[in-house]
Amino acid sequence: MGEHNYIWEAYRNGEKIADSGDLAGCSLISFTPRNNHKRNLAKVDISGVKLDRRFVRVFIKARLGGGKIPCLMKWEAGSNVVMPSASVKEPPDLRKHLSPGMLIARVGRTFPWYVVVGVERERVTIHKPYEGKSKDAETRFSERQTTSEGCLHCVVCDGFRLYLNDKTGQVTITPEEYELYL
Amino acid sequence: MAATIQIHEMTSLTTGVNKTSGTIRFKDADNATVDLSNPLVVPDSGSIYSYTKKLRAYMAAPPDTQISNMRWYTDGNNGFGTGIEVTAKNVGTTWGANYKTQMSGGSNLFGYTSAAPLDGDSTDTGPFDSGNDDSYIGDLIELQMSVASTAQHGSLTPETLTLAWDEI
Repeated sequence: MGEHNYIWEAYRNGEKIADSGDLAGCSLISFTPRNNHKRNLAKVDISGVKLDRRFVRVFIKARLGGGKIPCLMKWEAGSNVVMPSASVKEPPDLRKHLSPGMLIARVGRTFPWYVVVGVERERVTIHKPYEGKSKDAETRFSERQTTSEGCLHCVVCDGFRLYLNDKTGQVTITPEEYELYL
Repeated sequence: MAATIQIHEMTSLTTGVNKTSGTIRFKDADNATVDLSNPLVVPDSGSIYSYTKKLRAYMAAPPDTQISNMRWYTDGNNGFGTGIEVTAKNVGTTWGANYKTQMSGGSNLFGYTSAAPLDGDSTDTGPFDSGNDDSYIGDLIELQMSVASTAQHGSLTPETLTLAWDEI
């Protein structure tokens, strides 16, 4: 997390405070946007209430999953072609005479729009064709990153909390013990 | 100055790969590489399980004062589709090898939402300060994906996992 869009300062007995989380005895806390010429964020002041403490709630993210889920093609005699238990119809006694290349070709003729990703003696693994122009293109797609992160400035007061969204300037008032997560 | 905290996919108790804003790929292999190798294959019956993943927060730069209240959560909607689930649990700070048998004692990851997040510092409680700089903080979170025979094969839309903490 880099610099926040808002900088804060509080005043206790005329003394300016700009660090720590303890606001006990403070009469005012101000959140002032920095470099505001583009964002047009509002300045936020809290005064006239009993201030208790402050903190910043930070959020970072990671992507889960992605990629492809292939299905198995069972190498057995039969005519059931319903995925994921698809079968290629061949007399069982011919299996021993088939090379992996012949097997791939046979699967390709039966399911021309699927890509063979693995061949074993008893089964073939296939999945749908790559969505990009090449495997490399799809790998890059899979590694695409998300950059969303954010934070809320929280001021705990007597009887309520105030959350200030550092990115949008949105102010949310909640009960004193309420934990707000984006 | 605000702290820099990263989400790491752990390869041992003290080493991991930064996955902040990146991808955690569930696979039929025990590695943190994001590629199309060793995919989870839809079984013809029952379910199969990915190797478990362990995540932990890493302090790359310290806070002014301290960090506490670490929480993990999702948007609550499993967008992976029918037959694909992710199980999660807090395993404290004890490292165990990743495995691909069914996780015991976990809960549905998508049950952890902003309204009811997974506690990420119940064992390694903190608060964490400059003395924890360049080290792992909070608990290990273990994840595992399962794929049932009812799952559709094809592209898997990624989901988002959020780590939140309070900082002073």
